[in-house]
Amino acid sequence: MTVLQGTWITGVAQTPYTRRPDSGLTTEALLAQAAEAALNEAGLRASDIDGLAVASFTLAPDRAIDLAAKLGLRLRWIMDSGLGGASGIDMLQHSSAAVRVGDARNVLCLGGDSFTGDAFTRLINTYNRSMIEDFEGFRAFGPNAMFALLTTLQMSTLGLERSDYGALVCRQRESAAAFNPNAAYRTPLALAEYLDAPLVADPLSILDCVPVVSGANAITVSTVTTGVSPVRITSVKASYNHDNHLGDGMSTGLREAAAALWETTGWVPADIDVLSLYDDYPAVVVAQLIDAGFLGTDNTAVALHQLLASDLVINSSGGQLSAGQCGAGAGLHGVVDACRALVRLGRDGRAFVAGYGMVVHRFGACSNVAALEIT
Amino acid sequence: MITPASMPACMSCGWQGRPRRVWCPSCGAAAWADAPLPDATVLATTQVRRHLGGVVVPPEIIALVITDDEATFIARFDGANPPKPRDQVTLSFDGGLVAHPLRKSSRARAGAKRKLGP
Repeated sequence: MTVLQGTWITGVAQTPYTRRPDSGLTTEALLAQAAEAALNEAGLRASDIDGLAVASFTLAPDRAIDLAAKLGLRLRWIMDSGLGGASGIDMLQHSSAAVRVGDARNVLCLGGDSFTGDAFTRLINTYNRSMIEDFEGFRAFGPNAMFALLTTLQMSTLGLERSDYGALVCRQRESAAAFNPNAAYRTPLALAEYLDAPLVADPLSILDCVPVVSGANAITVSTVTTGVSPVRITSVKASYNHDNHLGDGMSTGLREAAAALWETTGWVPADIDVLSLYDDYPAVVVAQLIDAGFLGTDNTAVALHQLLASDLVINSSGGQLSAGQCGAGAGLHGVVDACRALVRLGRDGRAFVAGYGMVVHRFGACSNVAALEIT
Repeated sequence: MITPASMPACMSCGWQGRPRRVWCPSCGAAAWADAPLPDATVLATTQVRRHLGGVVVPPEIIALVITDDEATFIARFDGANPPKPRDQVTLSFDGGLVAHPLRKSSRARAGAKRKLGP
């Protein structure tokens, strides 16, 4: 059992998210834009950075070391994260450990993608060897189909209806309008509009499926509290390949990771002021709420509505369902959101930030979670 | 040698599944053989109507199924109408798992092992 002492997120940044980027927009340009903004917020110069972590699908064939050269960074520590929606907390876990033991003083963590042309289609169709070997014969398989199946199962098992998921989506859209100028969609959404939206894969409509965007996120991690609003990294826990691809998706690896986090921090769900959950689909939010102990499996619909009506800050960026999913940059989306929401509290506060990613063959193979606090 | 039309089975303990593995998740052995595909029970279905910016005509029916060994799989459904939860299917492999309707099997009469939602 370890509690990370004295490691901080000192700067955070997010580029605007765009649905249809200019054809010349490169991933490295997006990552550089986010990096520059995070460094400014942290009060750091590029020469202060001696550690770099990068998560991106479309930076290939370049890797973190290639980006380091293009940014002129001289480093003592480097990593590539390949965990998609879990990459942000993966980078946070390793970078905080690196600065804690002195392997680096200031680590820059970057995540983002530019999807121009058919880049996203190529990503889906060649995501990994399982996708090629096991789904080549399907006409329309991808994450939307997969999470439609999970949503159907979740609805029948927990007694949820589409309007329950709609309440979550509509509340997040309100938050996007209020707090996130970078979001792709910021117009408030009525439940009736949600229920009338065109179906993608029953029961999911276009408003249940995360919109693909181009964009990037960045954070700086240090042992020194530079910047105007440093956020303490209290604990990071992870669970990978928790069900060995044998489960039905109803439970995620967050069940194990959150249990370890609660034990390490001594916190309980009622202590949390800011909740940032991975929301590529509403059903994934529900699964994480249950796995982390914010909801139970009895009267889930009632409890969900009570949670949404409470003072708990939930995905205040609008979540990815409003803001968009910028590829592997989605892994840092929740971290940036949580840090900004903590600052907005204007008082001491605690955040629970979950990552979920790499729908390798079926549901997310990677779950991780960070406890952050501001004092 | 594993052919594409099979669901590999562990030669040590008989565990069977996809995606294909290197080490058996049940016993850790690393030797595999061809084996017949198991039958399965439908847990949930969807009809995919839009995909990667285009309309899917006709919608592709995809099912989440579970075997008697409690392993779940995703299969495209070989039929015009979606199966219902608890329906029994047989599986084949053709560029991915394909679920076929199975009628009047003894397992169907006995009911699914897994408790399904209301």
